[in-house]
Amino acid sequence: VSDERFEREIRDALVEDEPGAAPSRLWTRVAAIPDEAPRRDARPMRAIGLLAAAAVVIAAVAIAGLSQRGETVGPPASPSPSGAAPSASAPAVSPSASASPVAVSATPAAPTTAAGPFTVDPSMVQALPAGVFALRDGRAYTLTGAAGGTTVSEVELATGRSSTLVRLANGHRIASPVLTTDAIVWLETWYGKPPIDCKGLTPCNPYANQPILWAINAVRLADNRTTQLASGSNSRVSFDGQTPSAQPPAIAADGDRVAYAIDILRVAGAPEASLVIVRTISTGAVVRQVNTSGYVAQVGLAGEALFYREAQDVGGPGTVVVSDATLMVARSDAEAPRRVGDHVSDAVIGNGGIGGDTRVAWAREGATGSGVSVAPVDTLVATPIQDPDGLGSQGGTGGGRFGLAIEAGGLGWITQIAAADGSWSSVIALCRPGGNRGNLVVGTGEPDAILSGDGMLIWSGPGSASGTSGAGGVLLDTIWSRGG
Amino acid sequence: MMSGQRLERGGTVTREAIGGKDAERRRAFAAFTERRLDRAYRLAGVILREPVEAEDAVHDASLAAWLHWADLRDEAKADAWFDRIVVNECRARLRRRRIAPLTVPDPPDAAGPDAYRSFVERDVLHAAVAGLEPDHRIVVVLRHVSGFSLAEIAARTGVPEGTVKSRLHYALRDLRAALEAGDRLPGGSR
Repeated sequence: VSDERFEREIRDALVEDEPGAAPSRLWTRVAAIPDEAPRRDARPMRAIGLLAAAAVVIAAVAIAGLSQRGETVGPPASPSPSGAAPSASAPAVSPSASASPVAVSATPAAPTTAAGPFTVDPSMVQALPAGVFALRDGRAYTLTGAAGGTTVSEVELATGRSSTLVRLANGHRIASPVLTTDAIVWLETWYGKPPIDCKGLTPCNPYANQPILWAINAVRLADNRTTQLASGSNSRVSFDGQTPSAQPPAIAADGDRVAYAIDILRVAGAPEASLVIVRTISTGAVVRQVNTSGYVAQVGLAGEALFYREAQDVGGPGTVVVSDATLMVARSDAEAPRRVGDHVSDAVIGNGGIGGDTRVAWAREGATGSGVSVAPVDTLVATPIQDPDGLGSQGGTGGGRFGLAIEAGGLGWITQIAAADGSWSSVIALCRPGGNRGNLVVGTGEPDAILSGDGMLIWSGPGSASGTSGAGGVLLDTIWSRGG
Repeated sequence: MMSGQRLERGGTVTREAIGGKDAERRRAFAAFTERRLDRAYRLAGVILREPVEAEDAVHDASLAAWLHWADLRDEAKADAWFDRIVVNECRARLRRRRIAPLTVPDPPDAAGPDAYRSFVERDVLHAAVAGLEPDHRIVVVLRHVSGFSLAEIAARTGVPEGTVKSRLHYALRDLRAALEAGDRLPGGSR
């Protein structure tokens, strides 16, 4: 092959990867950069830098005074005339959030007839593999940590056959795996530097003060093709706790879409400002972007409907209370998000109606009231769901609610029960389709997560009714038919 | 006058009057990115072979450029300075990339032997270029796509010209070997 032809072929091969003009979303992101504040972890260095710069200026002035000669120190002059604003300075962010709250109300309905707690009989329980995060068509999708690296697997329940779909490198972690129509989407996180030596101190986060590196990946179930949809690094510490660390983005996926929130915006007066991005999984195209002033603790997707929980600092930067958030919901791509609830600690969205309509449910933990509510996305008219009777009979008083799940028209959540001795336990509460009262589901141990799939209520956690530390499930129809 | 900006709750950034040096700095940065963004995105796209990651890389490079704007003393060197930031960002991403984006096209279904041979050649080169180590891939892109001289590549990679020349030599040697090996595949003969 001649050198000339060889070089031409190299060039042709490389140019095939040339992506063309920068997409509008990149212009938008870059145009937003001047509005971003310096990274929080860079502030001390910035202060030192300013002091150093001041020293340089003083020295320069002194030297100029001595030499009677001026010298320019600082940024260059504008490289081009400051005429018309470039297109990049007018970001076209798709419908921004509505500033005004939407009145969401419902006439309280009389609670449906209370049924007693539903007791799970071990004979009803379908044992499920540990680490199950989704169930569909007789297959469980599991997340398993192992010495060789975390894996995502598909397990045929009938035969027990398992196949590995994804294996991560050591040190990489998966958060929020989601089964969509034809793919599994997950958030993968890792750190760029080795952990520090905690020297026996507790509590200790060996990765404290490190940016967390992340990527959103998808594996197509049909052919196991893996694609990276987005990547970046987060360095903002939105809530300190005992071991401060940067948080990875919240993500959600449904159908051909993935939503995630990143901390790239640095806005004066809004240190937790975030950007919610919705992309298609198949092409990576950005469908919409929403700027928020607060930390986005959770996002959810169902078709075009999008929700996010947005929490604010309560005492200066880094003091976000993630369980005390505002629930924002956009019913379609063309609609700006609207405020649906305050003091929201958890939310879920899904095709949970009997007629297949999409519903959003949320748990509120406020000083002026707490409880679970559900609303069709079409109307956003909320129906409060009464707490189950019998919390007292479980040995104490009702506490927080979390782990909401929607399936086959039913709504489930985990409710915490505080005992007189100050200890806590957890139990599943379940509201049947069309109902407005939860019933307790006992006999499932103390689940730390519930989910749904194939018409089943699924729970996992230590001491589950499957007899192992794995997971178990019961058909919801069984529960409904037996009065649960 | 201090810069002022306000974020409406749940809304987009609303800029109030921004004046003085900050306004000048913003205008300079906006003008600079307007002129450079497309080119940087194309460069990152060819180096990374993945448009979404290229977008993130150029964004992060732009952020770095903004944060270090004061370090740029010589306007004449602005292009090389920004290219170097972009290249560094791409290199970092290539090095930590674990999951290679799968963008290899499917072979033609019912095409004739010429189409198949063309596909094989292109695919062999694609695979070979993708297999180059990051520093080698970068110099190949800067040389054969961007058309830079060795001195210009040195300015954009931060290594001496001799190192650029050496990397280019070994990269092209590996690519030629891959292409010639591809010739020996069925349908790959010239």
